[in-house]
Amino acid sequence: MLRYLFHRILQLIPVILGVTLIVFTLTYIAPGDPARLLLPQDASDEDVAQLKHAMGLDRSFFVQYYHFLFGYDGPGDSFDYKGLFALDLGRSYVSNRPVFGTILERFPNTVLLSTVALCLSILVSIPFGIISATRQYSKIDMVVTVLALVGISMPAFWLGMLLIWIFSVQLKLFPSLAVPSNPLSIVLPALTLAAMSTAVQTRMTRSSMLEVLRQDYIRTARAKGLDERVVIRKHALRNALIPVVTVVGIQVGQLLVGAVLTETVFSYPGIGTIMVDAINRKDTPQILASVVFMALIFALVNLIVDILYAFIDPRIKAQYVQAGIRKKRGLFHAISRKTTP
Amino acid sequence: MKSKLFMILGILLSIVLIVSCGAKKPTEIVITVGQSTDPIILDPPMYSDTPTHNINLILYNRLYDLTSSGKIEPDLAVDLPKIEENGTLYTIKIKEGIKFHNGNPLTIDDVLYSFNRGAFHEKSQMKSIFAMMYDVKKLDDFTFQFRTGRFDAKKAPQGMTDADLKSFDARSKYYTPVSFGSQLNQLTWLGASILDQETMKKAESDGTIKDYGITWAVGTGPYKFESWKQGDSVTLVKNKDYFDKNIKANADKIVFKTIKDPSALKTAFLNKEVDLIMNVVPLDAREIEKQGGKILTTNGYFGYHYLAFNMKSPKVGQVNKDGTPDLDGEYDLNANTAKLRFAILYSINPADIVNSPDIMDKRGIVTLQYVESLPFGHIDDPKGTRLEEGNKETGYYNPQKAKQLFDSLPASFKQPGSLKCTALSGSVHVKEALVVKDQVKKALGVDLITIEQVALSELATRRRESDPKVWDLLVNWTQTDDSYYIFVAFDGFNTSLLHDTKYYSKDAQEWIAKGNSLPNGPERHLAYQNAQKAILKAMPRVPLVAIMGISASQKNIEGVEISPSGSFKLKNAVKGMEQK
Amino acid sequence: MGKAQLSIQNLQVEYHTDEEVIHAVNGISLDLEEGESLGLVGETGAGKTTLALSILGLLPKPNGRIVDGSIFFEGKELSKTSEEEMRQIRGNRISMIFQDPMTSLNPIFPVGEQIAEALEVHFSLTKEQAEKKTAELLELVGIPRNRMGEYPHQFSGGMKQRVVIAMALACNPKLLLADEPTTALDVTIQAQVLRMIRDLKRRMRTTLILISHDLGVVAQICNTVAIMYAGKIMEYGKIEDVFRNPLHPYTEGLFASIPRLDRTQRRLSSIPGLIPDPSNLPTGCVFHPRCPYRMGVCEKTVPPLVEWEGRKVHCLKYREG
Repeated sequence: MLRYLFHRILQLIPVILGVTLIVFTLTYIAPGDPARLLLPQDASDEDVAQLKHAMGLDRSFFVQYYHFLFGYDGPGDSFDYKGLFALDLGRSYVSNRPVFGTILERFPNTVLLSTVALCLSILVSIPFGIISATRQYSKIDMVVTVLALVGISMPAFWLGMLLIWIFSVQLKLFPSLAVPSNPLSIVLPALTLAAMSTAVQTRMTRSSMLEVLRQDYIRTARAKGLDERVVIRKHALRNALIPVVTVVGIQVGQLLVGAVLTETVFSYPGIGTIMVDAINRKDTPQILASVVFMALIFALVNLIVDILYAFIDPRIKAQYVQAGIRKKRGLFHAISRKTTP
Repeated sequence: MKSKLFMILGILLSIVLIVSCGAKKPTEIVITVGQSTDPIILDPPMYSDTPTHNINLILYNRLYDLTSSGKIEPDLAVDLPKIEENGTLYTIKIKEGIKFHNGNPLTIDDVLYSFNRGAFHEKSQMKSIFAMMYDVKKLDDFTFQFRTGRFDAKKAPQGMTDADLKSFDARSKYYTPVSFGSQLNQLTWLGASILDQETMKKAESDGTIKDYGITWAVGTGPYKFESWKQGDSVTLVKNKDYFDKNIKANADKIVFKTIKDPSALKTAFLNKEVDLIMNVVPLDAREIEKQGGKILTTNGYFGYHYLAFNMKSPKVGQVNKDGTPDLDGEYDLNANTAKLRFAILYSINPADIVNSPDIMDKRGIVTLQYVESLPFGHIDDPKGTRLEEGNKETGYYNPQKAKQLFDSLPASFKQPGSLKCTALSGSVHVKEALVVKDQVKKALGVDLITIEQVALSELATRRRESDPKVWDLLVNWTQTDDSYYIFVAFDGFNTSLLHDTKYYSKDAQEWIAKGNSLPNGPERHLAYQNAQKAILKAMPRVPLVAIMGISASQKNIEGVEISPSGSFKLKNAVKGMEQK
Repeated sequence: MGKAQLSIQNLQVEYHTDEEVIHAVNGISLDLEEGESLGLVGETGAGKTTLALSILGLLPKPNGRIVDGSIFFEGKELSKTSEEEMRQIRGNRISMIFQDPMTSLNPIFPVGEQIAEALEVHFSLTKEQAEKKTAELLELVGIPRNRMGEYPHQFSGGMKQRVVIAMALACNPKLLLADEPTTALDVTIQAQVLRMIRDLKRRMRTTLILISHDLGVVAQICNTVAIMYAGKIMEYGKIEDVFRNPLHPYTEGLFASIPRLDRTQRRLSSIPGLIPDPSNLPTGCVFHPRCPYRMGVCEKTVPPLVEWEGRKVHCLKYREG
C-alpha cells in the first residue's frame, strides 16, 4: 500500500510538469509584450528592448522554459528568481510582490470559504439524498430533485447577487462584502458556492443510494431482521457513499482552486481572482504561479481521495496492494536480470 | 428520519445564532473608501493611477498643493517661491519641525533626494515633472534653489542628448535658461512628493527597498501606512504628530477597499458598508441620491468629451497633394476636408447627449470650447471667435448650414460609411458616437460614419499613431488637469494625451509657447486663450459636453474634497454618527 | 399428522405499477409440517420467489402487496403481524437465503462481522461470545475460523454461499427458505453445498422450503415437492410419487424436457408456448393454452383441488375418487 502511495506521488511530477509546459507555451505565444506594458506609453523602442532583455524575455523558448524550471539570474536584481522547483517564480509584473507569496497569503481565505461551503453542502446533500432515495417518487423526492436541478443550472454570480439583494439589501441581515475576519459575511458566499456542490452531491447520493438499495445484500440485511434504519445507515449508506466520495473530491478540488465568480460578486480575497486578474493584465509570472499551484492542489486532492477509497472499500485497497506488489516484483525482476551474468 | 430533522434544525439554529450575535460595536472611527482596483505601488514617482493617487495624497506631502478651485497653496513650503531672472530662478523655503512617520525630521536633503529620484531613477514615470529643472542647489537646511531651462545641443559635445544627463548638476553644463510657467504646477503633482532620504538609503542597502510602497511606506502625511492586503484593502492610521494642526480629519483609520465588480461596489455603498466611492455613473447618482447618499462633484467642469478629426486623414484632415500630412504652415479653411469638418460640426446637437439619462443624465453642460472653468485658457469674450456661432443650449448646431456645406462637396466625400470612427468599447463614448452618427445622418442625408469599438490598449495605440488608414474620427474624453494647465487642446511636454489632434498652426504654436513660458497670471491666461481661438478656427476637434467628476459619500461624512484630477482629498474628512 | 408449522391459505399477491397489475401469486394454499423439506419447482416467473418473500414480509414496497389470503406460522398470522414483530422473526425463526452468492454479502464488511450481526440483532451477546459463535458457525459450514476477518471478495462463489448459509442458520431458525441457492454455482460446488444444506437441516431439524427450477436439485434434498405455474400450484406430493408418476400435464412436460443420457435425442422436447403474461392471465385453467390434453371446459373452469393418497393436483382431468 505504501508502495502504491509512493508511485502515485511520483506520478504527480510528470502531471505538474505537463500542465506547466502547456501553460507556459500558451503564455509564451500569447500576443502582448509585458515589457512594453510596464513602461509608460511613450517609451522608445530601445527602452522596451532593454527592459525585455533585463526581464529575460528575449531568449528562445527553451531557454525561457529552462529558466522557468531552474531559475533566472539576469543583469541587475529586479527580475531574478529561483525557479519552479524552489517555488519561486519571481515577482508579479503588476504588483511587484512575490507571486507565490501572494497566492499563499490568500490561500487560507479560500480554504476558509471552501470549508464552510463544503460543510454546508455535505450537511444538506447527504441527508436529502438519502431521504430522496428511500422515499423515491414521494413528494419530498420531487422537491429535492427539482431543487437539485435548479442548483446545478443556476449561475453562481446570479445566485450570489440574488442572495445579496434579498439578505443584504432588503433584509439587512448580512453584509454584501465578504471578509475573512467577519464570520457573518462568509455565510452568503458560502451558500452561493455550496449551491452547485450541494446539487451535484445530492443527485449523486440519491442515485448511488438507489443503486445500492437495489442490491441483493440489502435484501439479505433485511432478511436478517435488521431495523430499516440500520439497513440504510450501516449497509446501504457506506456503500452508496463510495462514488459520492469521488464527487466530493472533485468538488473540493474545484472549491480550493478558487471560485472566481463568487469571489468577484462578494469581493472576497481568494485565489480565484488572482489568476483572472493576472490573465487580464498579462502578468505572466502570476499566471504561471497560479496555474502551477492549482494543478498541485488538484492533484493532491485527487490523491487523497484515492487513498480514502482504500479505507472505505476493502476491494480497492486490495487492488492497490496488488498493484504495488506487481510493481515491486517488476522492479525486482529488472534488477535481478541486470545482475545475472 | 428523526436524526435528519435534527440536523436541519441544527443548521437553522446556528444560522440564527450567528445572525443574532451581530458585529461588535467599533470603538474607533473608520472611514472606508471603495475603489475598483487595487493600487499598484505606493511610491509616488514610480506609478500613478487614481486609487494610488487617493492614498498617496494623504500619505505624503509635496512642496505645494492645489486647492479644489485650482489655486496653488504652499504645503511643505512656507510660501510661494521667490521667482527671479525672468522666471528662470526659483528659491523655496520649507517649514521647520516637520517629521516623517518614523520620526525622522524633514530637511532640504530629503527634498533634493526625492527630486533626484523622481528625475533620474530608471523606473520613475514622473521624469517629466523635473524635465526642465537643473542646477538644483541646497542653500541651507530648509532652503533650496533651482533653475528652469532646456537642453542646448549647441553647448554639448557631438552626439550627446538630454537623455545622457543623469543628474541636475550634469544638466547645468548644457542647459540654457528658459522660463516655464507651469513648473510650479508640476511641483503639486504627486510625483513630486517628498520621501525620507535616510530611510530610503537604508532600505537600498539592506534590500528592503524591494518592498517599498508594497509592504511599507514612509511619508509626512496626515495618515500613516499600516497594512496592505494585496487585492483586498490598504489600511492607514492617523498620524498624531502631523505638522498641520488645523486639519479636521477625525478618522482613526482609513481603509481603502478594493471591490472590482461595479455592481458590488454600488451595493456595498448603498448598504453603508463603504463610505466613499468615486467615478459614479450619472444614472447611479440618481439612485444614490434617492437612497439617501450624498453626491459630491468636482468644482467646475474639469473634463470634456469630444469628437476628434484625424488631421492626417485625407478625408477630414489637412494633407498635401501626395497624401502626406500637412503639419506646418497655414491651414486652408476652404479645402473640401475643412468643409466636411464644419458640416459635421454644425450637424451635432450636444444637448441630446447631455439630456440622455443613459449618457449624462444632465450632469454636464454643452460646451463650445476646450476649457470650461478651472484652468487657464477659458475664452471669456466670444466676440470675433467661433464661439459666436454657438450657444449654450444647442452648441454649434445649425443643420441648414451643415447641409449647405455638404451639398457643395464632390461626390467622393459623400460615400456612406466612409468615415471610420473609433470609440472605447463598452464605454459611454460609444453611445455618444451613436448619437453623433445619427445626427450627421439626419442633417446631411448620408450615413457617413461607421463606428468601431476597441479595447483600451488599442485605443491608446491608435491615438499615438494617428494612422489615417485606421481612423478618421474618434470620440473620447480628456481631463483638463489643472496642474499642467495645458493638456486640454494643446500639446504639452507630456505628450501622451493629445496625439490624435496634433495641430501645428503657426499662430497657435506661438501662443502656446508664450503661455508655457509665462508664470501664472493674467498674461498666461490670455496667451492660452488666444491659442484656443486660433485652434477653434480650423476645428480639429468638436467639443461636445463638459463634465464633472461625480463621487458619492454617506450622509454622515463631511469635508471630503475632490481634487481637479478627480482624487479624494481626505485630510479634512470628518465622519459623524451613524444614521440607522 | 401433526399440526402444520407453516400454513398458507389462498394467498394472492400482486405487484402494482403505474401501467399494470401483475398477478404473481394467485391463490396458493400449502401446509408444511415441522422438519419437512419442500421443493418448490417452477419456471422463472412462476411466482416462487414472490411466495417466499411474502412469507417473510419482504415484498418490495410499495408495489408488492398481499391482497388476499393469509400465512400462518406456528399459529401466528404473519400477514397481519406488525413490522417490528416481523423483524424479530426474520433471521431468527424464519431465515432466507438467496440465489446469487456473489452479491448477497456486503462487500465492505468482513464475513465474520456479517455473521455476528445476525446474532447480535436477535440476542444480546458480548463481543467474545459473538466471536466464538461465529467461529463455530464458520466451521460448521467448512470454513476455517481464521478467515473470519476476511472480506467477501476474498472467497470463491461456493464459499460465499456457505457463509450465507452460516449467516442464515446462525440463530437456529425453525424454517429456512432457500431461493435457488445453488443455481449460480458450478455443478461440483453445487453438490457440496446441497449436501451441506441437507446435513445441517437434518442436524438442526430445520423445516426447509427449497425453491428451484431444477428438478434434479430438488430430488437430492427434498421429501415433498410442489409444482408452481403462473402463481398457482399445479401439483403437490411426496417426491417419489410425483417423480415416478406425474399427474399434472405440466409436470409431465417438465420431466419430458429433461435431456436423457440413456438414449439418443435429436431434439430436446419442450412444452410448446410461453408462460403467460402475469398481468393478463388466461381464464379458467392457467395452463390450458399450452396443455396437450386441453378440453373445452379447461378454458372456462378453474380446476378445483383434487386430493388422492396424500397427493394434490389441480387438473380437470381428475375428479375426486
